[in-house]
Amino acid sequence: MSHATTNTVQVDARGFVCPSSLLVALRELNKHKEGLQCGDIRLVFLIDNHESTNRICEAVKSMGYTFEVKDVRNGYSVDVFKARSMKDGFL
Amino acid sequence: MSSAILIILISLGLGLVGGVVMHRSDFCLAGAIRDIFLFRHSPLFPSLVLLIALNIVFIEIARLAGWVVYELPSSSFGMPSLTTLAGGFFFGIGMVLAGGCVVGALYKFGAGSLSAFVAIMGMVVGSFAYVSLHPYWAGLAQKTRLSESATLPQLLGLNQTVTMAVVVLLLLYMVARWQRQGVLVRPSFVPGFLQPWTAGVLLALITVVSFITVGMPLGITTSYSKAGAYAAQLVAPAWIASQDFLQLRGFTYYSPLTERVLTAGPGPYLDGLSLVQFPLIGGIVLGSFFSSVQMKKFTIHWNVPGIQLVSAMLGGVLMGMASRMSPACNVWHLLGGIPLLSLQSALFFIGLFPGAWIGTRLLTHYVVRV
Repeated sequence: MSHATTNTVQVDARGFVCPSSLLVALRELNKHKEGLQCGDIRLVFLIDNHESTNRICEAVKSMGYTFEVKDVRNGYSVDVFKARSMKDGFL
Repeated sequence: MSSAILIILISLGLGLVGGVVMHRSDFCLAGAIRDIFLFRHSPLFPSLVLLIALNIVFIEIARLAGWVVYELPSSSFGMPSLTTLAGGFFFGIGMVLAGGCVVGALYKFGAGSLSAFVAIMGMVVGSFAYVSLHPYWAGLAQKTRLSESATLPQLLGLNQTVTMAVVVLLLLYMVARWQRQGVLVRPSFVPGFLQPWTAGVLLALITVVSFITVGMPLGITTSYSKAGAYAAQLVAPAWIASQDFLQLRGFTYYSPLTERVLTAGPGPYLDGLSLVQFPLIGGIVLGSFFSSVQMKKFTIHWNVPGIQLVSAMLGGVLMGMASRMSPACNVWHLLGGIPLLSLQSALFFIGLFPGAWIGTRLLTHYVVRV
């Protein structure tokens, strides 16, 4: 199934009390499960600590999504989406 | 160089290295226990067990070599009483609500966390709030004493080294199992991440160096009491002078570098603990700051939800009070007392678990709804 457009939902969890950033990310992944599954939605998490970034990546990997971690200034961004073809995947 | 300056420099150095190690690995002692209840799986717990096992080995070797001299009970680790269990319980709630323990808050603050700063302020308030409670609590500690033995070998009437060897073998067996299951080494997706098990080894080395050079394990929270007392002295000096708890200088320890027994207490004066703890605190904050700047990750985020700041403050107050009830913090007990098989520290450790469970319930009901 092909989709002309993909909505990007950005979740800024920088500065959150540990482990709120991870809890919020898991909540958002669950909330947008259907959109992610059919490729309508792309989730971008902005995180400021290594452990939450690692744990979010671990979780999305086990859920079968594709993800890309970017080392942005003052933090990390984790881009989560459903790969439509092999060339979309980063893993 | 005078021995006092040498102690300050060593503590600062240990703090700096510890700050870098904890920042790079996100080695959160609070998280290691909290996640057992929050996620039914704690990725850091195996590294914490490894750290404790290595602490036992390193400190006992140092003792057998004559580099570390101690005898329990002492000012550092006293007799087991139910008040320590209660202190561990309240500390467990506090560390979850605050998002980190007494050192976790320091390294997170060093990397620019506003909520960690709020938690530290809470700890100062909580440590100070304990002052009025002390006469009652100290009496309760006497009444609820559980044993006349200070350590597990004393309780069982066994040789200390043999008991420690058995405990270490049990702990290392657990670590080896986790290693085989692939949970000791953490997957990493960020550059510059230090594996928690490596951090555990380094923190065990830092602890034994502290024991050998400074004469005691890493400690933080008495300085929070002092900070609160210094601040209160500015507005109510007469009240400060009237509080027995703040005039106590009952803490004594042998300082190898000065070759003297130093005394200390929680009041507003410089003493044998200030010499060690203030540089250690400064070192951890600075070490984490340098590490985060070097990684281009230092930043202060102001957009923290209000409820999270309230949680951090309440958690800090609880930890500050619980640290005086126990009568020490989790780092002192876990990295200092557990390796000596102190029963007091074991009670604190046991108390942390139900506390962390209650803390996670409060966190997920009131702070972050999941």
